[in-house]
Amino acid sequence: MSVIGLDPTSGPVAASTKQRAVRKPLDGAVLGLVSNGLGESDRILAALAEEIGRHVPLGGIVSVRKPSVSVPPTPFDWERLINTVTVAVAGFGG
Amino acid sequence: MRDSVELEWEGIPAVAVVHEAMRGSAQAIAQVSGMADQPFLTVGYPHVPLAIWTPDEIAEVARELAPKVIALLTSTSTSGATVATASGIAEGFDAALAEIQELARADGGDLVVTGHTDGVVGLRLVVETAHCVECIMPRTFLEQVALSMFERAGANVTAVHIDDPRESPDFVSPTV
Repeated sequence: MSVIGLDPTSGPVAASTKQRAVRKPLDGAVLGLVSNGLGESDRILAALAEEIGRHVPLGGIVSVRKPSVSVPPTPFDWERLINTVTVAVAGFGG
Repeated sequence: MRDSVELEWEGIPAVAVVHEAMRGSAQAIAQVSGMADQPFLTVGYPHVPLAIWTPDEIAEVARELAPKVIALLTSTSTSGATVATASGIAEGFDAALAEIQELARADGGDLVVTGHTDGVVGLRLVVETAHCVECIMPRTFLEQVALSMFERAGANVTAVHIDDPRESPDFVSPTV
């Protein structure tokens, strides 16, 4: 078993190499929904996707539910997301 | 919050939605990830975190969030005009947008954001609920007024394009 030490006093990571993704118009976008599994998260994100779909025509919706709020999506779901969605919303159980 | 950051690193525009109670945590995660400009939106009270929300409450939150999510997923601006970042949700764009929407809502219509890229804002005129479609200003005039309002609010907007269904040859005025 390996142990990873995290040093909270080391300060923030430099923002030099990590950039926000390029934005494009949403028409035809495949929307990823990353639910943290808390509270009403699945229903809220589904309602949000439906509402977004009223404003812009989406190309599809991919929903994943994390095993826990404290962890990322499963490797399978993560691959599914990054290989299929073009934009994403993450959240949120109220 | 971290999920949205990592999606951005994969080249996928993403926005996180958190409860207002978690704003500090979201800001901290964005900053320690080296992505202080990563957008996020908050939902505040009276919507209580982790409570059971009614269908009406969920629908209300979704309606409020949708235009902001669209703006954040399509806007390249990180100047604070439209982006809710670790610096906090900027008010200029939202305030101007609310004023602009009132122009259509006075007659029962609405204006919804369909995009915001490189200072160009796309809006769609909603007339299905309008009680007087003809009373809503013509598109070209609406665009000029909207641009003026955005500029006055310092929202870093250079052009406004409105999709006006009244200009479609197939348009039929709704009966409300």
